[in-house]
Amino acid sequence: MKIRTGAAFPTVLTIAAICVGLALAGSLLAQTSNVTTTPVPPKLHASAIQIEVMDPGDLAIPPDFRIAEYEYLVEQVVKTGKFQKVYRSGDKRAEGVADLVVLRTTAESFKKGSEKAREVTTVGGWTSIKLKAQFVDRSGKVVLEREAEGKVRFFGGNLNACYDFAKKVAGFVAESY
Amino acid sequence: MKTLVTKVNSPHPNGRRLEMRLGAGAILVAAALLLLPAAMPVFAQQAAQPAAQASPDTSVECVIGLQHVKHHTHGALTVEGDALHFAAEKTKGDISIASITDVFTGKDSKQVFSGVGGAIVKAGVPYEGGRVLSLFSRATEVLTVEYRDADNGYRGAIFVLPKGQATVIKRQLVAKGAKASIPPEEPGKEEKKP
Repeated sequence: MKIRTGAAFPTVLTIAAICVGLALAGSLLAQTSNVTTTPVPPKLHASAIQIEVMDPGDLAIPPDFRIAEYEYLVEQVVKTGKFQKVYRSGDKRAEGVADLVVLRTTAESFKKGSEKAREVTTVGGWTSIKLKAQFVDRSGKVVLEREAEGKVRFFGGNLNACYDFAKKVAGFVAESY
Repeated sequence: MKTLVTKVNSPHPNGRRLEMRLGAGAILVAAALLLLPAAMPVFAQQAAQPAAQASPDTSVECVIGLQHVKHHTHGALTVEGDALHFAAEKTKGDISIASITDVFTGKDSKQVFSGVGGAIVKAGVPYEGGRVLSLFSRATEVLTVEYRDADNGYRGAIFVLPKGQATVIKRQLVAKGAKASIPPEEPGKEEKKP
């Protein structure tokens, strides 16, 4: 019995192409339906932001962590380019700005790990800092509130947890403004 | 010994395995020998602490917060005139003592083999031996300075110094009028965190 593989090849190719086409169409339809079901929140607007110093609450957060969190936060919010001006806490120039939004952060949990323990064990010594970030407008209304956790699990110094947190807050800014 | 030599020289697979093991052992021994000089400064530093306290102008890492100075820049930190002065090879920054609102010191430790270079060295040691290198660390002190800029904006700078030097700098700053919520302690004593 002779098998005619040459003749069967175009048929197999056509069937495969139809299958791929159907799969793509299905995924596209599913994506469209997802987009329609979840409403996109309207973008917030403010020309300037003032970043306040972290409120440590009852937690004993070392001064270097508080400073690192603040400095990285300012740096990352500036990097988003969403605001014409980024003011620091207490900056006199922010007083006259009408559409100013104030970013307040409150510590919720903190665990200082150890770089040595992280590198030796790879399962211990994690550093984590969890904070609540609130964006408040001139009238005192909270326009955006999110929680973010900065972590260092494997490599790098403990202060990198603050950098991780700041990057996440900058992500909220980028998607909301 | 005779059997060992014959096994190593023999083309038999077991002999080759043994040869590989001996090679790996030799690499480990070589790595350990290489590490010895790297570990020596750690012990030497601990022994030479009083000398370091007398001369605070050694290499200091500015982690973050000093205007016009990149993160993790190394340089010298001194109290000159009415300012805290940081000078690196290419850049320098000053904090006016009058603008300082608080100064803190804290103890920390830093890995001897850190950063990208350290990771490469650790990865190069076979049989997960790089973890042993992670045990080498040196004691450091962290100096945290809170201050206000020309527009009264809040700022903070973090410096990592060799052990004992942060307290010396803090004492000098407080003596020149810098505010500190916690008074500077004597060298060797850790100040209580707020």
